[in-house]
Amino acid sequence: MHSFRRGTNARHPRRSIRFVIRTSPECNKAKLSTYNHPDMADLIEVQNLTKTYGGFTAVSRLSFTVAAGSTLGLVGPNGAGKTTTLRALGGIHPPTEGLIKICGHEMRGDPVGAKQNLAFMPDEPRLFDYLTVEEHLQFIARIYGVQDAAVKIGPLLDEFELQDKRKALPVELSRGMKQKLMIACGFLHDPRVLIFDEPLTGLDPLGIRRMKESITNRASAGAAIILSSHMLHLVEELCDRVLVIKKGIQVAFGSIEDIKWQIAKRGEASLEDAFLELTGTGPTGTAP
Amino acid sequence: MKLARTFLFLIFSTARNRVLYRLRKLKQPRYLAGAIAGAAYFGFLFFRRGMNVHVRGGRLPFAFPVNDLVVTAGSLAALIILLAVWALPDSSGGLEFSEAEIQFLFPAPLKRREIILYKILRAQPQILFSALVFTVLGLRQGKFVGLWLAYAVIHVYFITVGLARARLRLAGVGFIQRLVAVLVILAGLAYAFYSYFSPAQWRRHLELFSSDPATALTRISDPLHSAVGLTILGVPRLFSAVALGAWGLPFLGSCAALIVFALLMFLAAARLDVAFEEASVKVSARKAEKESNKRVRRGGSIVIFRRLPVPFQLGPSGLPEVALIWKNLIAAGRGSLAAFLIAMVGSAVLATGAGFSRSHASGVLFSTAGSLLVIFGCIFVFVGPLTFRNDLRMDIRALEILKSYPLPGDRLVAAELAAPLILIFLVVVVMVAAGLLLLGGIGIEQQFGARFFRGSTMALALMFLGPVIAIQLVIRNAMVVLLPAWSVSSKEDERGVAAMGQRILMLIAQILALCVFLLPAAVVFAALFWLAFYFQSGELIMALAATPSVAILIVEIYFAIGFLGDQFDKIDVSSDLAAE
Repeated sequence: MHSFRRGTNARHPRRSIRFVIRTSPECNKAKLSTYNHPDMADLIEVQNLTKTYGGFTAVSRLSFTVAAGSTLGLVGPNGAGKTTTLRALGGIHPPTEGLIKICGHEMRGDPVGAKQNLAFMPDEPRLFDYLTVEEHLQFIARIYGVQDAAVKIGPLLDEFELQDKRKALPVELSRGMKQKLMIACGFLHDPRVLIFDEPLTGLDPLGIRRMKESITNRASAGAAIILSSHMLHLVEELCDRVLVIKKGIQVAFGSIEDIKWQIAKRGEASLEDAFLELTGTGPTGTAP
Repeated sequence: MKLARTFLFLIFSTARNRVLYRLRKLKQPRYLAGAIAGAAYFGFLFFRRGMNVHVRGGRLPFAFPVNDLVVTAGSLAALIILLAVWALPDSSGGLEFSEAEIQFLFPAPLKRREIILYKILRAQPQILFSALVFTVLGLRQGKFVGLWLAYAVIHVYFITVGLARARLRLAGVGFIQRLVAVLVILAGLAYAFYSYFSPAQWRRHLELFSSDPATALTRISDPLHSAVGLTILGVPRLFSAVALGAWGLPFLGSCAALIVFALLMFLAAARLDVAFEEASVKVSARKAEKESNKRVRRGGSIVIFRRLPVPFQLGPSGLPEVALIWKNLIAAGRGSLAAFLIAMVGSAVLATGAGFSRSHASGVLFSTAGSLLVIFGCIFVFVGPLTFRNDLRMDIRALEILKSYPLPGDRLVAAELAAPLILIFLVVVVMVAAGLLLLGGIGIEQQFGARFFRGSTMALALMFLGPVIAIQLVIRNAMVVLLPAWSVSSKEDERGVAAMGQRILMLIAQILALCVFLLPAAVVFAALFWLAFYFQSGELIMALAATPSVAILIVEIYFAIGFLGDQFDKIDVSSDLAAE
């Protein structure tokens, strides 16, 4: 049903993209050209990712790539399989089928190599109750072997406004601060792949702005980022490509502009319109 | 009436759905196995009683003759409970509601008495279940209705008194005043009871008690049957008669009277102009916090000593396993176990110091202290792995994070086990060494035989100590890795037959695993030890005999950790812990 082609991204023309053909081929013809820059290697490669629980298929044959410096938005309705996908990418649970490569390291064959290059930030901050903010960072520094941790910890605490909480335990932090600490821990070892599951939950407006800047800066520095969120305006703002899944199946994959354009056909369409149309949750309630 | 039906619908639906939820869970093998084991356990308890009934000619083991004396004793107990509830602290003034009930009922257009009615109705399934359990398990023969009525009415009474306490607080009567008042009333009643008889009569009753306790008690209870006694014990006696009394018209009369009492209490509660909502929210929040703390404490991670310094500075380079050991040592130090550790080691050191400073002065005292330290130290070899849970058992809720670290499973498992191993080892060594020094300081070794205190015996014990502790830790952590869903449970899963069965099965599995692990080493050690003694005795021979056994244990641990590491890498957090 779906076929994949390489094409240019309207927003970032130098980047290689893949998308599901959902529109007339002639519309894309002009844009379709394969372009692979050596610096823009795919840091995340996913092929036919499938995850089943008993008889239930949470994710089915998902394939996509994310290049260095690219930010992929993973969107879908509740229960679409977003968290399952992210957890598989983070090495939290093994996929039932399929291949996951992080920076060339296969997650199944070389999990340590793959994990050394990634940071997984779940939607719910899971911290160690008995370690202070600073001790969390020291702990992570040792786990990932961050030699210059002493130099990095201070600026990270500043970046996430945790400097005055460095001696505080998680129980003394608000939900937003815990979220910031978890992300600071993820950033400490300068991972080349960053996986965020609802990164802005619980943050105040300033925290949201800072977090968006942090994510953008990491992408600019060459990290490959996957960001799952229901906040479509955030996805639109931060991501250059988007993967829409529904009931574990890939519904659309490509640049945001392409997807919006495909859906709009005539006139303007927002990402929200595209999302509702693609997932069949719009006013008409019909799947495309 | 319509509202009562709505409440009953909610209560019935909740109860039905809870049962269905648990039945549905039986589709999963882990719950089914637990349910079978739990049912077998309860069945064994029940049928064992049944067998006893048969043997003892139709009388349940706990059954007692239902006579007036029993009812009177019950009414006295009821009187104390009914009075004591007035002396509870102010903080218990709010009615307890779940968070969902607070969210839906408090903003709803309901009168307070309707919320109180809901509260009363909501408690009925639990009260019915309790009455059923007590009836079936043989505390009472039959009389389920009586037990249920007694529980239900006392529940209404508690609600009313809770609101009355809040009303009294508004009137300036606080906890202390109420406590004093209740104590004065109880003391006054006790004094009135005591002064009913002269000292000579009391002596005669007490003398009679040794030969004929039933008659003595009947006589002692005379004042309770006087006009004043019957008045004071009027309401308490209703509870006692309904719960314990014999069938018949008096029983039915007591039931009717108790129902009237409950209605009066309900009307009183409805008329009490007390805003219980705020207190209820506090009570619910406190309960939720308590529940959360209990669950966290079970994992060993509750933070008591927040500012305790780290055991050592962790550098950024080196083995990443050290970070996990460091983390778990901090957890042990800042957790509730630190107090225990400090107390044990401190007492050991103090006792040793005292023993040396006054070596021959208090032989009995120091020999007792020394013996206790040695015994506790030995016991701690097996209790320690249960107490120090600063390993995967503590981190089970953070498995997702642990699995994202670039560390192979076997190294991660080994690192997680290291901190409790070090701590238990140290505690045992310090306690036993302190105990032996105390005993040695006063020459007690001569009494027990020099062999036990020889250096070779100690060296032998030390050789086995680490592996034996490590094996137990491996087994306990294996439960987390192999059956994570049994190791972490939601609030709903903590109760019920399946949960009980899971605990039983885990205990059996752990004991069996320990036997399997220790058996080969024990057999080899016994054989070599016998051979060594047969041919030649000596300290070197003993050490040589022990070495293969210790080696076997170490090899077992090595392979077990390797296996657990593989399983840890394969563990599917989302499917295993999804329900939690």
